[in-house]
Amino acid sequence: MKILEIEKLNMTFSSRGLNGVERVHVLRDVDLDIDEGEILAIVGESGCGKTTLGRLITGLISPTGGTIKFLGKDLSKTSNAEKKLYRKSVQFIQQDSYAALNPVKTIYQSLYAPIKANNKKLSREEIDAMIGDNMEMVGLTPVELYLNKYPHQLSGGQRQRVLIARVLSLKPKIIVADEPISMIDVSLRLSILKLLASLNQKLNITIVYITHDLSTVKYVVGEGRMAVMYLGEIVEFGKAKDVIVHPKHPYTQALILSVPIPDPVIERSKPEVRLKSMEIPDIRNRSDGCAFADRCLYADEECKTWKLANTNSDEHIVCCKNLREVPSYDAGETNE
Amino acid sequence: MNDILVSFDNVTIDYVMKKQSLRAVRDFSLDIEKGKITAFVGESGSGKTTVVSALLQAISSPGKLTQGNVYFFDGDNKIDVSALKNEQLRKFRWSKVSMVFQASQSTLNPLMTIYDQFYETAYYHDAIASKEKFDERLNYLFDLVKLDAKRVFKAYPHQMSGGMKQRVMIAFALLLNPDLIILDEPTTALDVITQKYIFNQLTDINKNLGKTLILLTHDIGIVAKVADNIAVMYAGSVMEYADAYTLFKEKKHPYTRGLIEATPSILKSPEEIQPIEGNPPDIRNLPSGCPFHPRCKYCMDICTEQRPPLQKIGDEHYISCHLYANNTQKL
Ligand SMILES: Nc1ncnc2c1ncn2[C@@H]1O[C@H](COP(=O)(O)OP(=O)(O)OP(=O)(O)O)[C@@H](O)[C@H]1O
Ligand SMILES: Nc1ncnc2c1ncn2[C@@H]1O[C@H](COP(=O)(O)OP(=O)(O)OP(=O)(O)O)[C@@H](O)[C@H]1O
Ligand SMILES: [Mg+2]
Ligand SMILES: [Mg+2]
Repeated sequence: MKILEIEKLNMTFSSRGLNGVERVHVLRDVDLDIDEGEILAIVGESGCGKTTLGRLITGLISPTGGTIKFLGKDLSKTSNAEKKLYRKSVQFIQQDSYAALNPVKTIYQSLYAPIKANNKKLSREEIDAMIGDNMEMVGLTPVELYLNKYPHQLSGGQRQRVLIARVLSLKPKIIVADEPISMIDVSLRLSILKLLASLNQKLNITIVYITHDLSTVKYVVGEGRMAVMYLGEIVEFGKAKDVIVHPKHPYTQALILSVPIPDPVIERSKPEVRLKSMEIPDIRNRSDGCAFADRCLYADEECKTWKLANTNSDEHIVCCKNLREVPSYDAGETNE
Repeated sequence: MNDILVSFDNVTIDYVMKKQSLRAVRDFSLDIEKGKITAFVGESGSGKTTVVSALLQAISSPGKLTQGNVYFFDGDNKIDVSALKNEQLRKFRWSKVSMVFQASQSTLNPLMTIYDQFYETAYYHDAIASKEKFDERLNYLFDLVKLDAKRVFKAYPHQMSGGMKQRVMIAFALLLNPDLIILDEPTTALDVITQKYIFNQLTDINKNLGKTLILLTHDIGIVAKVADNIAVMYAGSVMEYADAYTLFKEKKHPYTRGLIEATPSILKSPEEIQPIEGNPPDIRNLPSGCPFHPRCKYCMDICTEQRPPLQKIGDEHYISCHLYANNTQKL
């Protein structure tokens, strides 16, 4: 069953600048279906619109075009009560765990408040039991060790776990995790990623994992799918394993080739990245056709006006007019 | 051993504060090979920035070099960096050693064109023979880092992307033609394609111009890509030092091994990678013995009692671990 159906989603930000109102068309015709209980990754470089898409999915902002359906219901046409339920069901976890926790509250207080607010009738013992369960679920054990600590007494990884525990108390159906590990110590990152995957397995929560770090995707999504974004559009979509090892879109190929492999023998024998320009253009100067055309070795004149195909399908989708001319690529293969 | 450019000799650095002093770097000894790229890799707080700052007498306050020396070999001349004073120090910085600081792009002056900022710095260092010579040098440097000089000369920082600004910073570091450039997390905030591009340029600068580079990073993937030699740091000390191929192949120190095996890779399946158990060290409160022992799978009694010395276990391969006492046991 589809938990989210995103169709022709558009987002234009307007801001007042020196020359009157400036508009930035950030998301352009994004189509994306998410199944209940699946884990999906959204990857792409800085500024491509990942966070914007995440904020739209969590209902923090409303789109300027297109529709989002949650369990079949168009969000723009729901009642206030339904909206409230939606906001509770879809939770956002952001990168900065320090800013998200109140520094003068203990972990217990931070976890108690949202449960109480949403379940006025629960007794203190029942709430404590829920807190204990959630903390165990996120691996903050033994629980007593953490309850009376303040955020600054915890490591970044532990704070991120507290935030996840807090989100769990709302019994969400979807968790959108936006770069959840980028501020965490390297040695602790992996365990947070594995925690996200385990929430999906144990609680059947749908996970949307947003990241610019392709090397982490597999550890969260496993057999799940991945969408690659470039300048506000999804350019490739498919099973994460396939997309990572056999990327088809010229942009995805360049992206994956650039990800360093932590092994000097393999890393130093990789072929060069070949692009017309290494600079990411400003989203404001995106061409009407394929957004990647300016940098693509395989692009022709038509690409600049060519409209993207619909990406709404389960298969491995690649939005490229000249796909047949793009050489195949295998991430596991090296020059030697 | 090849030529040595810099020698850290038993360096200890403390941040001296009213309540409690904090030992950020402890008994740090390491020789930096001339003409090579040496990476200091370690997690946040392991002391990377602090230890190299001593090489420029630029330890941030209230930090103090409380023990040891840092030497720079300028031909036959052995310079004790901590003894440099005023004018000597000013000359030493930039023209012998320059540093691209962590997040340094934000130090560009937002109100000045890039050209003017270069001019000002060169002027301050008495490095301008004539405007023509200066322009020539700038064109050459911008060419090296693949920046369109005509455009960038006139640009203000806000008109440039993060990747362009970082390349401007690298050109800056090269301005007075130093022997050594220190790069502190030079690509952390940048996207992978830009990152790859910048490291290609840095490797060219190393290979073609013979510049020695010291790279500080927490990113194992980057180290695998560019480093000739690697020093793995933990809680302010060197845990292991070797050339890149040896280090990745042998990963003898349990922390080195843990770090490499915890690093995500597009080629490794989830079963092939393992997080390091436990928490990063709190240097205010270090355990006795080896600082890594609470997280170490191979911890022995002696590890909780005695700090292992840095000892040689192979050709230019050093390790600080009791498992290798007398060179007998092997991981
Ligand atoms: N409120 C806003 N007003 C105007 N422009 C915005 C706003 N929010 C985002 N943008 C612009 O939209 C584009 C996409 O931003 P977004 O934060 O979604 O990117 P991202 O993919 O999450 O990037 P990053 O990897 O850096 O987090 C950027 O060009 C950004 O400047
Ligand atoms: N100016 C300062 N005053 C007090 N303590 C400091 C200061 N600068 C650094 N420290 C402390 O010294 C230790 C080492 O810091 P340092 O910045 O050298 O680490 P690092 O390896 O460069 O880390 P990162 O990867 O986060 O840059 C840390 O515990 C840090 O909090
Ligand atoms: Mg973002
Ligand atoms: Mg640092």
